Amino acid sequence: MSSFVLHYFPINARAEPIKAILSYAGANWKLESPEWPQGKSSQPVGKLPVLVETAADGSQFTLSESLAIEEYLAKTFSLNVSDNLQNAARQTELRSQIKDVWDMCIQYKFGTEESRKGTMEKYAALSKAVVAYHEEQLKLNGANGHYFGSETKYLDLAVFATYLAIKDFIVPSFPQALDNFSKENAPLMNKVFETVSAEPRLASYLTTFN
Amino acid sequence: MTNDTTVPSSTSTSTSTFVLRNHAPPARAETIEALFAYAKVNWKLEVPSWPQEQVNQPSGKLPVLVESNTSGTKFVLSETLAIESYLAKKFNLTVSDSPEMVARQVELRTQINDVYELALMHKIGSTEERKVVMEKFVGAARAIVRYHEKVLQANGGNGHYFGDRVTYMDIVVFAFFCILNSQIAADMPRALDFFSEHSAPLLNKVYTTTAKEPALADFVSSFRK
Repeated sequence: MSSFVLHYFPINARAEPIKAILSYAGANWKLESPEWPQGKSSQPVGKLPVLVETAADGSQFTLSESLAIEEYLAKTFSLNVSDNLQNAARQTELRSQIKDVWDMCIQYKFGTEESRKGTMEKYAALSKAVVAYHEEQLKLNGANGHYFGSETKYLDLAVFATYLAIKDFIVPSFPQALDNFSKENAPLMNKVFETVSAEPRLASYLTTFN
Repeated sequence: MTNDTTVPSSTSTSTSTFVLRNHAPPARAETIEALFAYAKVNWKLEVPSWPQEQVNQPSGKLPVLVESNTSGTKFVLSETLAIESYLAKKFNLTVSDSPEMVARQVELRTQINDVYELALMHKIGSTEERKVVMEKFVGAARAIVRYHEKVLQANGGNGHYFGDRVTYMDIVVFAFFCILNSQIAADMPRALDFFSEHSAPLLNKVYTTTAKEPALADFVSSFRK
């Protein structure tokens, strides 16, 4: 049985989907926060998160890039959508869109006062379009609180964890960030949030949020 | 690190036809177009009126892939990397099913995309923004070249990322070098230093090896214009 070390900053941000997957899967894992920037040169390309998996025989597998890590863990813990090629592509597409939303939130948070005006406009348009598309996809799956099938899978966890990260890390400096994700604007996405947050296997993970 | 050696060959048996909706080139879909070319599939580019057609796209962005199978059923997909990954699997160009190798492929692809996105940001940025982005590009390019050269060395320095045949990652880097040597160099000549034969010998070997593939001859010449 493998153990995992997730190298990331001690914040609820980009690595939340990874943490949610590890927690939900009941994996043996821990978070290590390297000194920064001293720890930069020890990472594959100088960025975090990085996952280090140690197998039972002691061999190690090191992987960077958050989506690569997420997909790897989803596959390892059988949390991926079925092997149907089109569903797999749809999963990647939907995940990429949520990543685009997150990236723009980060662009706003760390932007100048000047750049924030332009970013806010772009963000409003992007988040509205992404929500509309996701609501459509969730309706196609029967509006049952899951993106695919009827059990909590990778995408449910990733989207919910990103929502939590935006609430925790972004909203304090960007209060409008979740406007288009309200229950009124995104009822089916909110059903995913409620369904996933009720999973007993996530109870411990959820205590990491205020 | 060991790289997989049992890589399936690229023989497309696809009977589908493909429409790629995108802005007029150059526009972020170079790897997708290279995949089509390599797989020798039936595809065409549609350039929607913009912004009038924006509302008709999945999340208001391009590119979008529309695949029609022989029964006329359509599959519509957005997001560049999702489209690439789908086509790469469909055309048997992805690495084998070892989860570690699949994950490595996603990791490496994402890193090349990061450098590409920084180059795009530099191109459209203000004078002030370009200074900041240039610094980020330099840091990213150095780190990513170093990492990719290690990965390629681990696969024997044979001009391929995985095994001894052309796979998705080879086509990614091939397309990237085509863009690097044309559009990126025109805006940011310094970018070439980080990816030169001296700085990135094995990445260059991937580019030259893949560029020799007969199926990519027309694609190569379209960038030399």
